[in-house]
Amino acid sequence: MQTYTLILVEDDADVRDRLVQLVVQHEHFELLATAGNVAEGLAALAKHRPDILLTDLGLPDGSGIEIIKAIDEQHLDCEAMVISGFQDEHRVFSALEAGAKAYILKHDKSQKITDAIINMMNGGAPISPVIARLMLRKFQVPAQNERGLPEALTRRQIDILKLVSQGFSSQEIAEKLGIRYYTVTTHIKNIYNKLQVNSRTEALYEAGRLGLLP
Amino acid sequence: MWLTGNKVRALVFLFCYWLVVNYLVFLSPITFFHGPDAGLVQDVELIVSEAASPAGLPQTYWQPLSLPDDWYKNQRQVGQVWYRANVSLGEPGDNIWAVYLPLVAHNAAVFINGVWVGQGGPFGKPTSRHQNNPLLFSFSPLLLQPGENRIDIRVQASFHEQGYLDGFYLAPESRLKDVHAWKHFVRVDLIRWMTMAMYLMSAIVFAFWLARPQDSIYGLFSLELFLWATHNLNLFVSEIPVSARLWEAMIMSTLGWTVIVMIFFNHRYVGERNAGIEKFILVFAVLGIGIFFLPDIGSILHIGYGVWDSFLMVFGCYAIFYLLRAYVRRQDPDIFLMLLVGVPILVFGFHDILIVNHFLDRRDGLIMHYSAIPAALLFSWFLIRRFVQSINRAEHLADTLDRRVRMKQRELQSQYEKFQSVQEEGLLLKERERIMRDMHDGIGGQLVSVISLLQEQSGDVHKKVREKIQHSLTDLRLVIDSLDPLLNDLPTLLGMMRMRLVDQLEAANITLEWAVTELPEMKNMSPRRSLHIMRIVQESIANSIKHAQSEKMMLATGVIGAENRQVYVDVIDYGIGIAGGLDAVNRQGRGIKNMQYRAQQLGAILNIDSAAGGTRVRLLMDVE
Repeated sequence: MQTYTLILVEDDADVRDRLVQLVVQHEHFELLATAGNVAEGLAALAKHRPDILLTDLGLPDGSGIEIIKAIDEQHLDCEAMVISGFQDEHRVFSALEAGAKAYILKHDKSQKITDAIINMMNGGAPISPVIARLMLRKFQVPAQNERGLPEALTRRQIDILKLVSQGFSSQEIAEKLGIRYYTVTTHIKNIYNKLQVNSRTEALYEAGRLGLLP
Repeated sequence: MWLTGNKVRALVFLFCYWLVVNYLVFLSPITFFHGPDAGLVQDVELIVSEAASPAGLPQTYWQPLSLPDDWYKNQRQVGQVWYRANVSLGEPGDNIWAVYLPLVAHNAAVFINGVWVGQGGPFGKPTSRHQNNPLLFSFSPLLLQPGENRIDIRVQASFHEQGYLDGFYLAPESRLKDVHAWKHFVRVDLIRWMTMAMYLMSAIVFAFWLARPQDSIYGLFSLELFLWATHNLNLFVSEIPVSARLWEAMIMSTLGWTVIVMIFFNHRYVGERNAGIEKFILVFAVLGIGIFFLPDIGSILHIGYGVWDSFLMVFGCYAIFYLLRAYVRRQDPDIFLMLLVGVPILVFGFHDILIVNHFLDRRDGLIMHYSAIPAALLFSWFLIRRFVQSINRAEHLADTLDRRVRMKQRELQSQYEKFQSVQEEGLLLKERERIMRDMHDGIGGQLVSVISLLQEQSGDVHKKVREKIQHSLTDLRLVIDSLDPLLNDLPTLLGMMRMRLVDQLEAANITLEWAVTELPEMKNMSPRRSLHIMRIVQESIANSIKHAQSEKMMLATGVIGAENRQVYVDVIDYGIGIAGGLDAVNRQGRGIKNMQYRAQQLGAILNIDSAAGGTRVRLLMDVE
């Protein structure tokens, strides 16, 4: 398996140290830099162009979402992962809209954290009932469609999101729908991509509406 | 429809109709007024005299004559003529006798053997007018004698060209009165009632117009009816309130204005106006006022019948051709009906113009006013229909508007409610964020950091501390989750709980079977209710972990009850059941009492079934 380069943005020194330990010890990760705020994070991202950005959201000088957005703006080949401390699906959802592909919980066990990163690089995508519901809401509100958003969910994707929102795991969903586990995770990843495409279009629409575009 | 739908067929029909009307008017095979079967007197003598009674008449210079006597044709240049006839009779008997004058212009007085037996009305200026009114004078048979009897008739005309006396009848009244009554009915009574009806209709339509002044056709039709009715007065009013000159001027002008207003009405009703024509006829109408200023009846009649009426004929033809053209363009059945009533007006009018200009026998009588009956009925129907339609349309519009307003109101209401709920949601989210921030920066963040540090530590004490903190964190999360409006959806709420509790279950080595289904939307969900539900489920799971000694557990949901109005959440362990049965359950510690209390707060039912195969805790809630 290949090795992935990585930068870490986290303001809590204890948590950062733990994560650094975790990553450094892992054979498939190469830590390029750590940062404690948005400015450092952005600088590190531009400088190192890592495979993976691991970032906290609540940072002293702003939100980790700004760093996640920079990936898209700078057309970097980098997957963003959110470090969520005290769980907050709504903020994580904003990060997903900005282009994050996965999230971990700070207090998860070490194995779970590294598994989650590897899983993301292999095309997996974690999701929670609340995020699934937020997705459904985002894609189903008719007003959104009137704006001519480019991406809509397929019937299958809607079914999957509904089951996720009811608390079923990806494995259980695969069994229920009679499809493979990876098909489920691929669907979820595709939903994430659609979400990002739509939110980008939406941002343009809003900017146009506010007269910010030429 | 069969007729009006096909242009050619309709035009051919109209042409034939026009021919038939002409035939009936000018070559009529039908006689409306038969003379009485006895007593016709045509051979008379006449003398021009201003005398008021036969006693003042000279005995010589009488000229023999055969009636009728048309003063215009016979060029009498006088205002009054006396006629005398000697009629030879048998025994007159006891019955009442009468003299019947079918047609006289304008006024007549009758004397039998020198005795006055009756007259149309007062003689003098203006003289009483009976040109359209058959006269019948009854008298006692005592005035008659077997053999020769003398009848003297005094005839006076307003203008010498108008004077006329048709052959008259002397017979017992019973043989004359039916003929007289019929003619009087058709010529006078019918027209009188018709004219009154036209005035009434005119007033009603005028009131319509006052209510809707922008609808000019109501005003025009009212004026049209008024003018035509006024023109009709000449047919039955005998004692005129003004001079004969003004009267003739009024009768002349009202006829012209009727035709002119009719054209204006047509233009507006059909909807194709011709401003040039309207201007021209309007000028003509104003010139018509000049008739009132002509010095004498003679010039009024000559200019009126000769010039004014000729123009009216042209206008009448224009009106018909205008309708024909509109019909050819549109095949509108309404226009077809207008043509049906318009053709008689034109033909009857032409007939009357020929009469007043002495081209036709005056005994035919004027008939144009009869064509007003179908016309007035048709247009009244049109206007009433139009009025009713516009009321219906207005009502329909009002209904639609009302419906739309109500719909908008509902929309606004629901938007307002949505807005309120969004606002509430927003407030909750903000509050939640604030708590989240506090937690993140304060106790929550610290607990996470501590766990995070303890994750790498081994040893029992560390493990226990970690578990305790983990529990506290989970608890804290449930409270915060309860504030999330998204968790008003019960399956999502349970799904989130599963996520929060997964570590705890894993630590206890318990597999959780997940059997959550889609559920109807629960009304009245709130953070408080969410928290109650979560606490009940959490407590059930905790109890099972503690006491059931099972490796498997199930969480299931579903709907039951009438029309699926109840939702249940089951927590089932496959454990040893509760020792001592349900009584023991009730006696148990605060845990279950708390669950019961929370269920009560929810207005829900909490059932606990325990047996050897396991325990089932069922929370049963109404959807509404």
